[in-house]
Amino acid sequence: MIAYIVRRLLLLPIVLFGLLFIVFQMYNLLDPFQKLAVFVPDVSRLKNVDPHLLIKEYGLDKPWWYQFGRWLNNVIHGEFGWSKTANRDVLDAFKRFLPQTVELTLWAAIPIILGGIWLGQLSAVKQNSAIDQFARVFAVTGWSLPTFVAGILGLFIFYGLLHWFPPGRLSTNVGLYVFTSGKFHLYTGIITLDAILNWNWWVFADALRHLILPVVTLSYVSWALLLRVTRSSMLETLRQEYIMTARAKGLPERVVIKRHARRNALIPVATIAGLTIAGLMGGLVITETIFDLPGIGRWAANAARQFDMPALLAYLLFSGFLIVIANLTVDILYAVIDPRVRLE
Amino acid sequence: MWKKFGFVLAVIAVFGLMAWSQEKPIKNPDTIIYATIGPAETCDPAYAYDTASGEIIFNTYETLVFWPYGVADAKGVDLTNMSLDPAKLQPLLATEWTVSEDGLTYTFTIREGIRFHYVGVKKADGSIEWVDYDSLSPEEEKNIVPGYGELTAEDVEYSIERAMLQDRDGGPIWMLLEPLTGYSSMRDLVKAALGKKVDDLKTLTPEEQAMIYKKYIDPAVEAEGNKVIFHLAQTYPPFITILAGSWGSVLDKEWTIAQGDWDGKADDWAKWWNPGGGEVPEKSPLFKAVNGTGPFKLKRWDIGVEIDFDRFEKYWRGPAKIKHVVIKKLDEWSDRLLLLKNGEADIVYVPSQYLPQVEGLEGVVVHDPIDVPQVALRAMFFTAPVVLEGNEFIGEGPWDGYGIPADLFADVNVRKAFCMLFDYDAFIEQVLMGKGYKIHGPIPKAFDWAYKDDPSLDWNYDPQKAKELLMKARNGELWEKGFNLTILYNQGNAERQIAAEILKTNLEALNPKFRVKIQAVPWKTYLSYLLSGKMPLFIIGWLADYPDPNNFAVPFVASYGTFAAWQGEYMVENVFKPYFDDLVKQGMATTDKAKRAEVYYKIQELAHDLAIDIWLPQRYPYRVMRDWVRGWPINPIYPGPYFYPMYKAYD
Repeated sequence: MIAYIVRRLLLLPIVLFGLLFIVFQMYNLLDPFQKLAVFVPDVSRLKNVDPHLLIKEYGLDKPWWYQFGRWLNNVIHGEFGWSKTANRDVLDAFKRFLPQTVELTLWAAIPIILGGIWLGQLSAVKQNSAIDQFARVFAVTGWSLPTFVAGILGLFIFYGLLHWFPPGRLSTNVGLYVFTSGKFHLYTGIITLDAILNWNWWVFADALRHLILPVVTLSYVSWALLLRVTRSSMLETLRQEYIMTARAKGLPERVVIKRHARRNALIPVATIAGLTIAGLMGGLVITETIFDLPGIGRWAANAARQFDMPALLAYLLFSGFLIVIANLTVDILYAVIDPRVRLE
Repeated sequence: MWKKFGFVLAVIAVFGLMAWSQEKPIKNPDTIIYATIGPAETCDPAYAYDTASGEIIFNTYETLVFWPYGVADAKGVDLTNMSLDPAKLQPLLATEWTVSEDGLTYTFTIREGIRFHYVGVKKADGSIEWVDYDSLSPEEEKNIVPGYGELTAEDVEYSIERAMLQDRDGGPIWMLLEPLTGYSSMRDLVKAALGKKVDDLKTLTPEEQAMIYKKYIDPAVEAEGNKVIFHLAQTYPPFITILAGSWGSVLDKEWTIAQGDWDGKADDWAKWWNPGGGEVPEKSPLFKAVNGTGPFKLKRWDIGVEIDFDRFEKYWRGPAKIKHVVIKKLDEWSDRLLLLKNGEADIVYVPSQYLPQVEGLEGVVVHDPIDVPQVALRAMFFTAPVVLEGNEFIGEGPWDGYGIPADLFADVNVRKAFCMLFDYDAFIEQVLMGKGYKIHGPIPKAFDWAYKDDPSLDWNYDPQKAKELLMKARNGELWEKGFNLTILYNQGNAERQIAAEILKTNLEALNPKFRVKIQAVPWKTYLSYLLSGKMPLFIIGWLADYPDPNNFAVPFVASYGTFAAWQGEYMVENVFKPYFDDLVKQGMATTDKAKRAEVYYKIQELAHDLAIDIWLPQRYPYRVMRDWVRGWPINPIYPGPYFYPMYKAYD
C-alpha cells in the first residue's frame, strides 16, 4: 500500500510540470508587445513611459525557458509573485480566497452527496415509480440548466422579490461587525466555522442565510451525476444473487437495502463524489461571481482572462495538486471499502 | 421524509421572518453603501494613478486647495457652485496663497490646529506610539507630541518632496516634476544632473543622491514658519490645479517615516524610488496604511472586495453626517441592480446600456442627462504611415499587394473625407441613446474659457463633399483602385464596434471598390497593434489629470505627446511638429488667461483644418441612487463620490 501511494505521488511533479509547460507555451505565442499589453490594462498607463524600456525590464523578449526558470527559482524560494488581478501577493490571495471556496464546497458537499445518494437510492429501489420519474426529471433539468441562469433566477426570486437570501458573504452591518469591530476573532476565514468558535449565533445565522442560495443552486445543478450513478449502481447491486439470498432469508427490505445493497453500490459513487468535491474545490467560478463570494474560482477566472501569469501558475499548481491527491484518495478509499480491490 | 421536509420548511420560514423583520424605511441609515466595479490599486497618494484609488485618497487625505462642487442628489441637481475655474479654487489645508508676477513662486499659508487620524503620543517609557486621535480623552490629548499627527508646513514640504523622489514608473508624479524641476521623470532629471543615463536609480551613490536632492528637489519646495513656498523651474499655469489632485495630498512626515518610508535624508532617498518598479504597489510603505486629515478614516481594505471607512469624529471642519462608508466591488451587474432595488446599496455604478432597467424602479432616482461637460475626450485617430509588414490584419489588395497604401491618411483630404463620412447623429442615437452632443477637440468643452464654441469647427456628415475629396485624392488613383481597409475593435467594446460600422456603411455606399472589414480582437492584440503603429484607425479616450487645456493639448497634438507616437512618423514630422509644438509651448509660456485662450483657439482651428482625428460625440453624465440620498457633490474632476456632506434622509 505504501509503495503504491509513493508511486502515485511521484506522478505529481510530472503532472504539474506538464500543466505549467502548456501554459508557458501558450503565453509564448504572444509577441513582446502583446505580452506587454498583458501588463497594461489601460492605455493611459503608458504616459511618459517607453514601451520598449518596459519590455526589456520585464524580460518579455527572452525565451520561454528563461522565464520559466526564473519563475521556478522564485517559487523554490517561496515567492509566488504578485497577482495584478487580485492586487495582492499570490500567497496572500490564496489565504484570503481559499477559505471562502472551502466553506462553500463543504456546505455544498453535504446536500450534493447525501441528497444525490439518497435520491439515487430511492430511484433505484422504487424503480419506474412516480418518485423515480420525478427524480430523474429533476436531475436532468438541474444538469441542463446553466449555473448562471439558475443562480440569477434564484437571486431574482428569492432576493429581488422575497428579500430572503441576499448575495454577498454577510449583510453590511454584520460584515462591519465581523471585520472591523475587533470583537470577532477570525480563526480560519471560514465564517460559519469561526462564528461557532466565537460562539456567535447572530453571525452564524447571517452567514448561513447568505449560503443557502449558492448551495441550493450548486446542488441543483450537480445532483444529476451522483443521482444517476447511484441509481444505476444500486440497480445493478440489487440484481446480485446475494441480495436474493438475503431476501430469501427473510430480512426486512429496509435492512437488505441498508446493510447489503447500499454499501456495495457506493463503490463507484465514492469515486464520483470524491472527484466532484475536488472539482468544486477548484473553484466555483460562476457561483462565486453571481453570488458575490470572494473565492479562488472567481480569482482564477479573472487571472485567466487577463493573463495574470503569477496567479495562473500558482492556481495551476494548486488545482493540479488537488486533482492528483483527490484521485489518489479516492483510489485508496476504493481499497478500503471493497476488500476485493488490491492496489498494485 | 416528511419530517425532514418540514424541518427544511421551518428553517426557511425562520430566515424569511428574519428578513422581513429587518425591513426598515431607510436601510442602514448610518452607512452609505456604494457598489461599483474597478478595484483600487493603492492608498499611497504618490503612487496612485487610477480613479478607484483616487476615491479612497479623496475621502481620507486632503490637499492644499479644493474644487468647489455642485449637488446632484435625490432631491435634484444644483450646479450653482460647481466650477473648474482655478480662480474659484477653495482653500482647504491652505488658508490663502499668492503667486509671483513671473509665475515662478507660489506661497501658501498653512492652516493651523489641524490633526491627522493618528497622532503620536508619548508613552511612559519615553517612546512614541501612534494612536487613534478619536479615541483620546481631553486629558490624554495632552500627551500628544507636537508635530506628530499635527499639520505643519514641514509636512507639506515632505509630502511633495517624497512624492517627487518616489516617481514610480507609470505614476502621476511627472505632474509635480515638470513644473518644479523642468523634467518629466527622476530618470530624466538624473541624466541631466550626472550627464549619464541611469536606468536603476537605486544604484546611485550617496554623494550623487545628495547632489541631486540639494540641487533640484530641496529648493523646489521650502517650509518657512507656517508657509510653504514652491519655486517652479518654468512658468506653469496649471500648477495650482495639479496641487488639487490626489498626488498633492498632505501626509504627516513623522508618521510616514514611522511606516518605514523616506526619512528625509538628502543622501539616502533612492531606496524608496520607484517601489516595485511601478508594478507591485505593495512595495510602498503607504500601500495600505492611511493617516490623513480628511473626513474619513480607512477602517479596512479587503483588496478587490470591499473598502470600509469610519468617520473621523474630530475632523477639523466638524464630523461628517454619515458614520460609515462601504465601497463594495461588485462586477456582476444583476447583483448591483438587486442591491439597489432592495435598498442595500445607496449608489451603484450603472453602465449606460442598463439605464432602462433602473428607470422607474420604486425608491430609485435617476438623473439623466445632467448638463455637466466631461473632462474627457474620445477620438478615432488616423495613422500614417501604417506598418504593413507583419500586419496580419492589413489584407490583400491593389496597393502593391496590400489592401491600403501605408500613407493612406497622409493626405489631409482623405482625412477630411473620413471626418465627413462619420455619421455623428447616428452615433449619438445608437451608442449614446440620444443623450449626447457633438464636440471638436482637442480642448474639452469643460474648459469653457479655452474652448472655441464655433460650430464651423465641428464636422458634419456630408457624403457629397467627402466623395468630391476622395475622387481627387492621389490624382484619382484612390477612387479608381479602391481599397480593402480593416478596422479593429477590442472584443466586447460595443462603442468602438458601432463607430467602425458607421464608417464602413458610409464608405461602402460611396464606392463599391471601397471595402471595409470590421474585426474584433482581444484587448492585448488591440493594444499591441496600437503601440506598433499597425492600425490605420484606432479609438482611444483620455481622461483629464488636471483641469487645464494643456493636459489635453500635449497628448493630442504635441509631437512628443502620448498619441503622436502612435499616429505614425508622417503625422509626427509633417503635422504635429511643424504646426502644433510651438503653439503648445506658447500656451504654457504665460499665465494670462486671455492670451492662453487665443493660443488654444488657434490649436482647435488647426486641428480642424488638418483633420487630425475624428472626434466622437460625448454622452451626458448621469446618476442613479436611492431616493433617500442627500448632499451628493458633483464636479467632473472628482475621481468618485465625496462623502463628507452626504447623508440619508427623507425630507
